[in-house]
Amino acid sequence: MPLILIKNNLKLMLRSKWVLFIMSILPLITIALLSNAFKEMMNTSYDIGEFQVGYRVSEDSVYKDMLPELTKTCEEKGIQLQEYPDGDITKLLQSETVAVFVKIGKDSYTVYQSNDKSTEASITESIFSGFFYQANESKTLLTYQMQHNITDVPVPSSTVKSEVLATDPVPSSTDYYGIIYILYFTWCGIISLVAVISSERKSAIPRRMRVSQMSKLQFYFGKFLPCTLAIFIEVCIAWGLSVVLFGIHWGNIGISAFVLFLTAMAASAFGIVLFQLFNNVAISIVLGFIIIWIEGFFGGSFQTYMYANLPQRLVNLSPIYYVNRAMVEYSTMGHSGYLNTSIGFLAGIIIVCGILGTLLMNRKMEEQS
Amino acid sequence: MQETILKLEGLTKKYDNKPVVDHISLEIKKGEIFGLLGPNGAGKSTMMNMVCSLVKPTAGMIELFGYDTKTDMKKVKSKLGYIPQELALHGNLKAWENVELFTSLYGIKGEQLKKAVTESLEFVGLEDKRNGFAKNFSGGMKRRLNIACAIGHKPELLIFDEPTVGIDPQSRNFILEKIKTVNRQGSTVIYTSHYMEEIEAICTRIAIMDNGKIIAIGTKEELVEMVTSDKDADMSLEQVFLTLTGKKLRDYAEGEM
Repeated sequence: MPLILIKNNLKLMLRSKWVLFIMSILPLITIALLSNAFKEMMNTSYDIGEFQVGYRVSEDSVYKDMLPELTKTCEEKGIQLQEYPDGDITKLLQSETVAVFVKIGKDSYTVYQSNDKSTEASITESIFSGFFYQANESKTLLTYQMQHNITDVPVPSSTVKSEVLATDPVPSSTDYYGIIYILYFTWCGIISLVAVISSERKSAIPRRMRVSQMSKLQFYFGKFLPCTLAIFIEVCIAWGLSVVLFGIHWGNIGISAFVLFLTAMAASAFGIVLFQLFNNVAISIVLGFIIIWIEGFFGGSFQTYMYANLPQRLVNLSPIYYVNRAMVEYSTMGHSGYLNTSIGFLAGIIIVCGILGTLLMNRKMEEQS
Repeated sequence: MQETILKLEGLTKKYDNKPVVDHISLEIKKGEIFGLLGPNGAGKSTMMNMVCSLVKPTAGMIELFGYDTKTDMKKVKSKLGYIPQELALHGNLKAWENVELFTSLYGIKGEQLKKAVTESLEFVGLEDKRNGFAKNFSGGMKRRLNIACAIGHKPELLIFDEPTVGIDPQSRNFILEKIKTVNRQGSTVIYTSHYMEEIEAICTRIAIMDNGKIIAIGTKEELVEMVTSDKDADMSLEQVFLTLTGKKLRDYAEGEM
């Protein structure tokens, strides 16, 4: 193992002040800005709050007499039930006068909803079906009592009990963006390679190295290992600072560190391929950042993956999605079914890019001959 | 009979079917300071790059220390030191770190490596600047550091490809003296340069290249004899060179050679 080469390349990477700024300080600025900017958006997504449901009931409806009781039940749940005997239902929904509209017929009802109010519609449907089901049951029971002249029936105080547990699977915007941006900037760590690559390319260092006894594989590891270490060190600085400054909750420190290290390895391997593909360092960086941005876009780095309205097939192709999801779930739930998938994706990138990087490095040397 | 360090036979390199190095054959013996002189585009650097296995020959054979470089280059790499025309240094590494890095590429480690770094820096007069960053060095200091990076593994053959380009006379003189010193210590030297007076001052044998061919080879006196029959003629190497290669300007675009 070329330890001196690894040590000196690591020094080159860590001595680059602007890379250190991008990798260790910029994530903190991004986390602060985005977690604040999206705080409201995330809160509104989770807390639906009060909303109004319009209804129209036909004269012959069996449910008509039950509506005052239903209105009371809805009020308890924070839903305003308002009758609209006339008017266009579509217009009422479009103007957001009501969130959901229910048309009650003789012995059935129809729930009307707009595309963006599916949660409100589900809640409404649940309350209505529950209420009418209980009403029907009561009616049947009453009929049975009257037919059999039963007068002494025990009345349960409540058939359904509900309890609010202290588990919240939804992260705060600070936790979400705090985790996601440490992971995102780990990918951006390909920029650490610039300190070595540009220094080599503006001088005759590659020629001097080729005259030496080093093998091509040693040259590869001479870049891959220090880049991995540099990214991991820089990201750990940002990670530690973000925890201290913003109080971000990571689920399991050991697993998080392992995933971050694997991501740093994958970013290094990916970066080496890019820098071998193009002689121009700027082109490699721009292309690399575009790919990372696209992966991040589908992986929930900008719009949270929970609410992003993106094609699931594309989301499933983004390794960033699995890593993001695994780490966020570890933060909120303490476990994640996505951990193995994310490790699999990262290992795949490391192996594929590692082989490709070594082959490209060989090809480049052959070309120069 | 002195040992042959480098033997070239019919060495040829063609780019786009145009010969840049054209059937060159020569032998360099142990202990020589062999000067390679030629106008721009003569093929000097291409020839040296082939010797170092940086460029594949189109045809011909290169034998280094008795090994064919096509098949056994790995066996001779540790005996070879190469000082490229361009600087080969990391600006953001300190002087000692640069020397340590390039010396370590030859498998030297531990105490031996530390000793080699100190000796190399002392040799080029930069020991007191060992903690300075290469990017802050003057042109002459960088050239000296460039040499220090190539001698740490004690090579038996040192190839200097125009090592004094763009430096002050004091640094140039220092480098030439050091080349003579390494030669006295046992290293064979191949030295390519445009500067006639440098070649004249240090080389024991000189080859003049033009259009990819060696047009003259020998000691300075032998070269003078080639261009004049007057045994008492006091000709400089430059006059010999111009007589052999002509006064026509040699312009060539980058990448042609």
